Order: sequence, then structure tokens, then C-alpha cells
Amino acid sequence: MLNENLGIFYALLGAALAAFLAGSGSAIGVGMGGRAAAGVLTEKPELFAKVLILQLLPGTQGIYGLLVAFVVLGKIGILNGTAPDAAKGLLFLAACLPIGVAGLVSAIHQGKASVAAISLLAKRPSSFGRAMLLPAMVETYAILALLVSLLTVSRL
Amino acid sequence: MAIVPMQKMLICGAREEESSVMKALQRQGSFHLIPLKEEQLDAPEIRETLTRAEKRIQTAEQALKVLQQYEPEETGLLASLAGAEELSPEDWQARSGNTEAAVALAEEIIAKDRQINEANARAARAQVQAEGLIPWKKLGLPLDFTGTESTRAFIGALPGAWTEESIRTLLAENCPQMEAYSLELLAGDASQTPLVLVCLNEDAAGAEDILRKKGFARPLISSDKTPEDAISDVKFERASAITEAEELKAWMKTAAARRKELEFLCDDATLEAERLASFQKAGESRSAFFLEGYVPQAKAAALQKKLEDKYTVNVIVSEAEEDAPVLLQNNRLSAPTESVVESYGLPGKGEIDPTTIMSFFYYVLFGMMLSDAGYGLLMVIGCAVALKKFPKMAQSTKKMLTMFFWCGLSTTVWGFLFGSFFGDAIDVIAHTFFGVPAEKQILKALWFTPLNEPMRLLIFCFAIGLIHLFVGLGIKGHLLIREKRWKDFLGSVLGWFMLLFGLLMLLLPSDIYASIASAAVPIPLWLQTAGKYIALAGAVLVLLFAAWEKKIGLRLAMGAYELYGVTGWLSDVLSYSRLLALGLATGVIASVINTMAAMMGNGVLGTILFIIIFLIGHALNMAINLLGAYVHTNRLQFVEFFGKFYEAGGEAFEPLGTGNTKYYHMEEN
Repeated sequence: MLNENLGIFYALLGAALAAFLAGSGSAIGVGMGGRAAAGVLTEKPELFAKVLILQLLPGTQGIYGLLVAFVVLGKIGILNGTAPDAAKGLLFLAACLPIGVAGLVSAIHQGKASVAAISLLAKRPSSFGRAMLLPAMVETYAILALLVSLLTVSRL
Repeated sequence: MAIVPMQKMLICGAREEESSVMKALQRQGSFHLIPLKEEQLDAPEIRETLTRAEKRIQTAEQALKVLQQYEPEETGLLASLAGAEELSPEDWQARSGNTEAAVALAEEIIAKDRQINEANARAARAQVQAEGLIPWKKLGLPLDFTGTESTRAFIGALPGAWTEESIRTLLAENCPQMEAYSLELLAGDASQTPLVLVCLNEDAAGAEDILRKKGFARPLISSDKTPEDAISDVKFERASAITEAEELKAWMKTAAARRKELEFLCDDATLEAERLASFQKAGESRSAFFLEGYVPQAKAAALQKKLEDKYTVNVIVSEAEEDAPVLLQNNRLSAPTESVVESYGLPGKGEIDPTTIMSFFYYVLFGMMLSDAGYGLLMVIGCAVALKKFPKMAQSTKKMLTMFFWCGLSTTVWGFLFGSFFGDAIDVIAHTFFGVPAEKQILKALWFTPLNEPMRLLIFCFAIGLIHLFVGLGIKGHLLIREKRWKDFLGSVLGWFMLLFGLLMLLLPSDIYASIASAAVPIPLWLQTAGKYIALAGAVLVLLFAAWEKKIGLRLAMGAYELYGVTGWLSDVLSYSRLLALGLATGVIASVINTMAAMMGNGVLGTILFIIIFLIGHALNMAINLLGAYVHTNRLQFVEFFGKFYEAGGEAFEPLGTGNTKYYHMEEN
């Protein structure tokens, strides 16, 4: 009985880590972007749509975390599937770590890059394409982590 | 796939005609001026008119901003799609002559705006004064009353709440000699007690001393009228200030009816300023002027004829030089992605326009990342309706919407291939509301479901990536052959092709590949052996020719370093895994939304909740994934694809034209 619940506990812990670490990272990143964006908007309100996009760029990590968490929930009997034993629960936990940790760190740094991109846009509104691309480079590593987490979880 | 061929054009004519020639060129919009002389022309009269035009733009814009504040005009998304109003060149010319009224109007608007602000400030100040006077309202004396010949009056307030009793006690304790005095308390509150004390001159010093010790303060506002009169004065002033502001605001409403005049003034001055700025690029002698620039080949003859017919000018057309400005021209499918190429940079010397090849990959990659038929159809319908309904929208908006139209079409195709229509919405709705058993799948993937076979899709993504990269390398090969740089071609194109092809032949049948894709690709043994030698030969080519112009030792060292670039190829290919990740993200989140929406089950409440959650959830998911797909498609093009062959650095073809206006658009004739 205890062992059975332990399996779900580990798996849930994994899902929780994926959602809350990556989500926190995104919250921090988008928050930083938002402050910079608000500053720019005081002077140049016409840039609203563009700075909004730049602000949102670090928001994807939270979604990746949610994604992995949801796939896990769909496998361990919460939404679907069957309850895992303790060993398998630990496997789920391990599989969730990449997107959790890489999501947290990359979202924060992407947020910093977004802030820089927003100030670039403020000075040169025509260079939106480039400003958008610089923060997007950071996201690559969140995507790689998502891939590892997702492939592992869906195989378990 | 083309860069528009250019021709160089030199125009010279009499100075009297310079400004009308310039106007004609501007209306034609196909002449890209290049500065003819090193130093700036020192023509004070031009600089003066330029400053005047710029001042006009500024004034008109400021006046429009003021009007927007008092009489807002619709500036929604739809309004911005509607595009600028068309005006024929003749009408433009006619209206351009009498903009003086508009200038006066703009100046008046700005002045009246200042008056409104001043009136508002006066009203606010009066309000503050009135509030400060209210405690003294009952005082029958002027506030600056100081006493009669033999008495002193103290008008002011003590902090805190006092009663007449307590003040009398205070005075009796501290100034025992003071007997004849009059004390009156006015209505106070807990924070202060206003009072009037009248005493004999000889007692004044003592009384003042004790009052000051307790924090006695004179009123902030002084006046030679009684407070009641002062209050009514101030109130009158406030009322008149408010009326003045209201009257001015009413005037603003009537002025707003003439907004169009200001808009025209703004646009007309913009064109004038651009034209005048072009004068500074012209060359002039005492009686002649010279203009040098580029014209698209197809338009050169017509422009030449037009100018020579109408003016006494001499036009010389010659071959374009290598650094001619770049204008892209593509077919209808590819042209919308020109802006993507432009945002990276236009093709420089000896490069080709990569738009056509890129646009094909652009649509495919975008579709794979968004990969939901529902979202795709929404994009297709939304863009098509907007394009149909607002034919006059700005060119750049039109291009963008057309691009998203094609992206949406591709998204729809991929969505059906992967069996995703708003996620698994059709199945969820069927199960929840129509009692279809949960095992039965209605919308089946035409190809396969990514979440069930992620590895299969991952391999497919890598394959697409490899094709994309090979095409990029192929273009580089094409350019090198065109320039007959054979050794470069051997070292940096053919060598790599052979090396990578050989490695691929070795990888596909290997255990490593089998462990990822769960099945090795059977490659005949002879091809494997051939692959080994081809890879080896390719590596030798890279080693020898990557830096063939250097001396032998350095050449080999640099070749070896170049070989290390194989890790770059690996990371480039792996980068395409984002196609899978973003595609899955769209589908899974969409399913999450559907599951959440269906949680309340069948029934009235359940249906209502379903609709609400479904709409909000999918709107959000679509928005964030659209952004993701757009950003990462650009990244794959810019970093992975362009990195293989494209340097960019061309100068954009920016003719003197009528395209930079905001409110009106001059029709072409």
C-alpha cells in the first residue's frame, strides 16, 4: 500500500518540479521583460505590440514544464494510465528534472536577454527581427531539455 | 528568385528646373539617389526650407496628438488595416498649394491646448485656496487684520483640539496680568483650532509668546478681505476658469472636424522634407544640376523618355556597378517572405536572392512547428478575410498577412497529417457530449500521431534539417562555381558533401541509430564500404583545400580545424529537434485545454464551461505557439540555413518616392 503510493508520490514530485521550476523561471523572466517593456512604453507607446512579444519570449519554458507535467499526469493514473511502483515513480522524477532545471535557468537568462532586446528596440525600432532573435537563442537549451524530458517520459 | 537588375542614371539639367524634376522623380518613385559629392552642399535657402518643412511636420503631429486627446479617433486594429486614403497626384498638387490655413489651425490648436492647461491649473489653485479659507469662514474680519490703535489681534490656529475653557486657563496661568481680552474660537477639528484673540497692546508680547510656544500659526492665505468675501472671490475665479476650459474644449471639438487638413499637412510636409533632403545629394554648378542614381532596368527607358520629353534635361543611362542597391522581386508565393530576408540583410556583392528557396522551407518548417489544423484554418481564414476586406492596407502589412496565409495553409496540412484539430477537440466533444465510446477515435492522423511515436518524428525532423542544410551548402557551391573558385568549392562544399554523405551511410545501419530509431536502415554492404571511402576522401579534401591559399603547414592545421566543424554540423542538425518539441507542445497543450474544458461533463453548465474554457484556452495556446513558431522558423533560417552560404550586406533600394506618408497615399499615374 505504502509502496504503491510512494510511486505516485515520486512521479507527482517530478511533475510538480517540472511545472514549478520551469514556471518560476518563466515568471521571473517575463517579469523582468515586463518591467523593461513598461519603461519603454512610457516614451514610445506605439511599440506596445513589439515589446509585448519580446516580453513573452521567456514565457515558453513554463509551458514546456506544464507540458511534461501533463504527460506525466496522463501516465500515472491521475488523468489516465496506471499507478507506478516506487522504482518507476523515481524514473518519472528523474525524467522531469531536465526541463525543470534547464527551464528555470534558461528562462531567467532569456529574460535578461529580453530586457536587453527591449532596450535595443527602444533605440532602434526597425531592428525588431534581430532583437527578437537574440533572446530566442537562449531558448534552444530549454527546447533540448524539453526534448529529453518528453522523450523519456513518453517512453516510460 | 531574383534581384531586380539596375541601371545607373545620370540626369543633368538647368537649375531652374531642378525642383520640378525632383518632384517628377518623387512621383515616379523609382529613382534611388546616390550622393554625388563629398561635402554637404552649402545652400542656406534649402536648409531653411527643409527646417521649415520639418517644423511643419512637428506642428501638425503635435496638433493631431492634442486633438486625439480631446476628441479621440478610432485607432483600433481594424482602423490600421483600412490603409491610407488615396489621392491622385493632381489633387495632391492642388491641395499642396494651400496648406497655410492648416498651419494656422495647427498652431491655434497647440496654443489653445496650452490655455486649457493653464485654466485647469487656475481652477485647481482656486480650489486649494477655497479649502484653506473654509475654517475662517465665520471670521468677520479680514485675514490680515492686526488690531486697532490700542489693541493687537492674533488670527491663527493652534494645533490640536482646544476648548475656549482650556485656552483661557492657559492664558490665565501664563499671563496673569492680562485681564481685558476677547477670545473667539472658530469651528475647528481634531487637528487644529482656529481662533481670534484681541488683547491690549501691553499684553500682546506675553500672549504672543505663550501662543507661539503652543505652536500658534497664522493662516497660510492672507487677504485684505473677510474670508467670506475671499471665498466667494476664489469660487468665482474657479468657476470662470472652468467655463473657459469648457469653452476651449468645445472649440477643440469643432477643430477636430478639420483633422483631415492637419493630416494632409503632415504628409505633404513629409514629402517636401524628403525631396529637400535629396537636394543635398545633388551636384550643382552655377546654372546646372546633376543627379546620379539607380533605376530598375525595366523602368529606365520610360523614365528617361518622360524626363526628356517634359524638361530640358540630359539623361545618360549606363551599366550598374557592383554595389548597386538591391531590390528583390519574387513570385506570389515567395514574395511575402522577402521581409524575412530583409530583416537579416539583403544580398551583397555576388550573392543571389535566397528568398524563393527559403520561402519553401519557411512554410514547411512553420507548419511543422504549429502543426494544428484548427489553428492553421483560423490563420488561413483570418488572413484571407482581412486581405479581401481591406485591399488598401499598407504594403508591409499585406505582405505579412499573405505570409501568414501560406504558413496557415501549411499548418493545416501538417495538422491533418498528425491528426490534430484544436488538439483532440473532435474526439473530446464526441465523447463528452455525444456519447461516442472513448476508445473510438474519430479524427485519425493521416500519417501518424507524434505523441505516440516521437522518435519517428524526431528522425524525420533531422532528415528535414539535413535537406535544409544540404540545400544551403548547395547554394554556396553554386556561387563558388559561378565565380570559378574551384579550390574553394572542393574544400568547403564538395569535401563536406562527401564527408557527411559517407558518415550518414555509416551511421544509418549502426547500432547507435538503431537504438534511437528502434530500427536500423538496411544499407547494402557495398554502399557502407563505399561510404567509408567517400567520407575519407571528403575529409582529405577539406583538410587540403579549406585553406589552400596558406603555406603547407598552416594550411593543414587550418584544414584540421575546419574538419572540427563536423561538430557544428551535428549541433546544426540537432537544432531541428525544435520542430518536434514545438509541434508536440502545441498538440499536448491543446489536449490539456480540451480535457480541462470537458471536466464538467455533459449538461447545461458543462456545455457553457466547455465553450468558455475552449475559447480562452485555445486563443492563448494559439497566440503563444504562433509566436514560438514564428521566432524559431526565423532562427532556423537565419542561423542554420543562412549560416551555410549567405553573408548579406547589400544596400536596400530606397527610391525617392511617396511611400512614407501616414494618412494619405498618392496614387501612381
